[in-house]
Amino acid sequence: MRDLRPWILGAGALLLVLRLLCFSETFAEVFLRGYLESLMPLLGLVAAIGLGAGQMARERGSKTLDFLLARPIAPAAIVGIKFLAGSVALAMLLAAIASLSYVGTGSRYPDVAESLRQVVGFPVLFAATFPRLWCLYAMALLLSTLVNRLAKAVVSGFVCALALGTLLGIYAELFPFSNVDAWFGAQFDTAYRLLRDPALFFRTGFTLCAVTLLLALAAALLFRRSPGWSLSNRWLILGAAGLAGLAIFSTYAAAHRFPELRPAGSMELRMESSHAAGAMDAAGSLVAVASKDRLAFLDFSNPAKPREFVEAPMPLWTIWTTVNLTVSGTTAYILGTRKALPTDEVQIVIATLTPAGTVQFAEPISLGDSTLTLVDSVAVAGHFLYVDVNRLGQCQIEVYDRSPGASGREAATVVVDMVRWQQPSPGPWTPPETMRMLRRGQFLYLTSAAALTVLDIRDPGRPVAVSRIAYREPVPQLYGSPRELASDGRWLLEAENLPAVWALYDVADPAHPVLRGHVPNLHGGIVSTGPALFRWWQRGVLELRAAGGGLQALRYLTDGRDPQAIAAADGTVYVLESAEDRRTRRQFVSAYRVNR
Amino acid sequence: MSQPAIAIQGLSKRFGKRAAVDGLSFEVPTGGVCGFLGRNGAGKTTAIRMLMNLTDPSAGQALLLGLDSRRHHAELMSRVGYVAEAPILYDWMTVRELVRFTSRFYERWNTAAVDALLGRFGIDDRQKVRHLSRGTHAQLALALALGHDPELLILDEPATGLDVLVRRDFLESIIQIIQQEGRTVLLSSHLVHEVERVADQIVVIDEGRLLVSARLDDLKLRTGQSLEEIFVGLVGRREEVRQ
Repeated sequence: MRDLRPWILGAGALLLVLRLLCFSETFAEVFLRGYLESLMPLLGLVAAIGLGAGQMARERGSKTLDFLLARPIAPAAIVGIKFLAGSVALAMLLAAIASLSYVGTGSRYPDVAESLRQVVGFPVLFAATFPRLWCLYAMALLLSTLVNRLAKAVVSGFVCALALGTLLGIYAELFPFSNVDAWFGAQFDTAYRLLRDPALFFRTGFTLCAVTLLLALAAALLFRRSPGWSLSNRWLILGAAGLAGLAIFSTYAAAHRFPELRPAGSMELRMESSHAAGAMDAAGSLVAVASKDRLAFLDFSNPAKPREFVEAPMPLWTIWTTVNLTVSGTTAYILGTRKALPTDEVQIVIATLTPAGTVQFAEPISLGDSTLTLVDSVAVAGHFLYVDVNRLGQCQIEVYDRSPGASGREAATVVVDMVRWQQPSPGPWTPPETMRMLRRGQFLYLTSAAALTVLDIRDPGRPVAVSRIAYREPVPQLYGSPRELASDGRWLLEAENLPAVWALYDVADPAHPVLRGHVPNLHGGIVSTGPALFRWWQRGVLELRAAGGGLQALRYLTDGRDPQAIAAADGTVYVLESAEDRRTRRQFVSAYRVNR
Repeated sequence: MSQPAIAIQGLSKRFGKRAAVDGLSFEVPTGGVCGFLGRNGAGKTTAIRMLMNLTDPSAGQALLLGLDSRRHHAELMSRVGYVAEAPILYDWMTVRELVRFTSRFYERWNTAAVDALLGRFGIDDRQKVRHLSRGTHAQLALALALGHDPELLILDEPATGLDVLVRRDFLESIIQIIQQEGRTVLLSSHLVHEVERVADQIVVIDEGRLLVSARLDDLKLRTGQSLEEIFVGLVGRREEVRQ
C-alpha cells in the first residue's frame, strides 16, 4: 500500500491550525464564509474529477495497466474494482472536506452561515453532496478509460464539468422554475433546501446514484470491449468543439426561448433632478414616477404618443428619500423619509393631479421617527390608506381615513405580530424590517416575523384578521427576514429566503390561504402588479403566470434597456428603464400591452 | 496430435495507414522454445500485445492454449506468464508488497518458487521497486511471471537494454527455468545468437509479415547455415528488394 502517514499527519496538522485560527472571530467568519460558499464545492469538484480521471488513464499512461491486464482478471472487473475503491476514497475525501466546514463552530454571535451549518449538520451535508460528486467522479472515470494520459483525462473531466455546468445554467434560464440547480449544487444552501424538501432529496439522490452506476457500467463495458483502445487527440478536440457548439447553441436557444413583446410606446423622462427616478406606479393610463426629490405624472392614454402632464418638486424644505409610490385615481401616495433633526421622519406625501394639470400637495402623514419605525408600503382602498408599520418590533397595520371631512389621522390599528428578541449580538438589538403587505381585492395579506396574516377590509375602517399561518423557521438568524408577496389569479406567492423558493398558496378562498407547494426562486424578486407577475430577465422583464402548482413564463418584454421598476394597470405594463452610455444616463418609461 | 500452444491466423494491426502487423499466421507447438525474431520495429511487440489482448487487432485471430485470447482473457491469463519489454511495475511498492499483490490475482501461487527465484537473483524483498536496477527489475518481472506456474511463457525482449554480463546471466536463468519446468516459451528478440542458444523453433517476421516459421534444426539442415546467416539472408534479401 502507498504510505498514507504523511497525508494523515498533514491533514491533522491542517485541522489543528485551522481550529486554533478559528478562535479568532474575524478569521472564523471570513474563512467559513469563503469556505462554505466557494472553496468547499471547488474542493469537492477537484477531488471527484481528480480521483476519477486518475483511475485508468494514470495506469495506462504509466504502462502499469499492462501489468494488471496480464493477470487473470476480466478487464471489466478492473474498472469495477477501481470504481469501488475510488468511491470509498471519494467518500473519505468528501468527509474530510465537509468536516472542515465544522472547524470553527461555536461562535458567541452566530451568523446565518453558522446557524445553517448547525441546522444542516454533517450527515445531511454529506448525504446531499456525495451523490452529486459521485456522479462527477463516474463521468471522470468514463473519460479516464477513453484516453491514454492522466493530463488528458483531467483536462477532459474539467472541460466536461464546465460545459455541463454552463449547460445546466442555461437550462435553468430556459426553464426558470425547474429544480435544476438542486440537482448539481454541492453547497450548504442546496443541502438545506434538500433537507426542507425530502422528496427532492431522495429523487435527486437516487437518480444521480443510478446515473453514476450507469456511467461506471459504460466505462467497464467499453474497457472490456477493447482494453487497449483510447481516443486520439483528433477525437478529443472534436468532442471539445462539439461541447462548445452545444453551449453556443443553448445560449442562442435561451436568448430566444420566450416570445418577445415590444413596447407599444415609450417616452424619455426629462426630470429636472440630479437623481434618477426609482419608484413608479400606475392607475388607468396615468403613470406617476418619483425620483428622490421630484414627482412626474405621465399620460399614456395614447401609448403610441405618451406625454408628460406635469413635473413638480417635492414640497419639502430638506432632503427627502422616496421609498415607495402608490397611485390611486389621480392621487399619488409617496412613502419616504424626510431628513430632520434629531432623527429622520417617515412620512407619506400625498400629491393629486388637478384637472388644470397642476400638482396639489396635501398635508403629509407623519408616521414617526425613522429609527423606531419601519414601513414598507402603502395600500389604498377608497379613501382609506393602509400602512404596514413595525414600531420597535410591534408589527401592525395602521389605517388612515382620508375621506372628505375626516381628520386624516390614524383611524384604526391592528397588531398582527410582535418580533421577539432573537439572539445574542455584539451591538444593541434593532428589530428587523420584517413586514410586507399585498392588497388583493377586499383582503390584505401581511407577512411578518412569525406568520402570514390575512386581514378582511370589507369594512375599510375596521380591518379584521381572519386567518393566520404560522412559520416554522429552523435557522434562528433568518427569523424576521422580510418575505416578499406577489399574487396571480388564485395563487399567492410568498418568498422564502433560505432556500430561495416561492411558497405557493391557493387563495381560491381568499380569507384562508392553503399552502400547495414550493417553486425555486433562482433570480430574485417577482413583482405582482395588475393582472400578472413579472420578474427581471436578461435585458427586460419576463411575464409569468402561476398555474398548475408552478410558474410558467409567457413573454419577454424588452426594449433592450435595463428595467428598474414595473407598474401595471388596465392590461398595460409600464416599465421604467434606463440606458447608460459613457457620459449620460437616460431613463424611459415604456408601455407594453399584455391583455391575456 | 496435440493442439498448438499458440495459433495465429491472419493477425493484422494498422496504425492509421501504416501496417505494424500484416496478415501474420503461424503456430507454436506445445513444449519447447520458439524464438520470435525480427529487426527493431518489425512488429514483434505489437504481435505479442495482440496475443496478450493488450492491443486490439485490426483483423485476424490469436489462439493461446486453444482459447481465443480476446474472449477468454481472464482464464488464459491464469495459464500464461508474460514479461514485457522493459516491464513497468508499481515502483512505489516494495518487492515483498508487489509479490503479495500479484499473488492475490491467482488461485494457485508458488510462493516457494518465487522466493527461490528472488534469492537466486539476489533481490532483497524489502527494497522499493523504484530502487532496483534495470537488470534486477527484469529478473523480478520474470519471477512474478513464473509465480503461478504458467503453461505458456511469453517473453518480449526481456533482456533489452541490459549490459552483456547481466543479459547473459538473465538468459542463463531463462534456460535453466525452461529446462527445469519444460513449458512452452515464446521468446521474442532481435539478438539472433541469444535465441539460437535456446530455441527449438523460430519465427522470423519483417515489416509485420511472416518470413519463415520452422523448426530450427530443420532450417539449419536445409540451408546449411547458422541462424544468424539465415536471418541476415532473409531480412537482407528483402532489404535489397526494397532498395
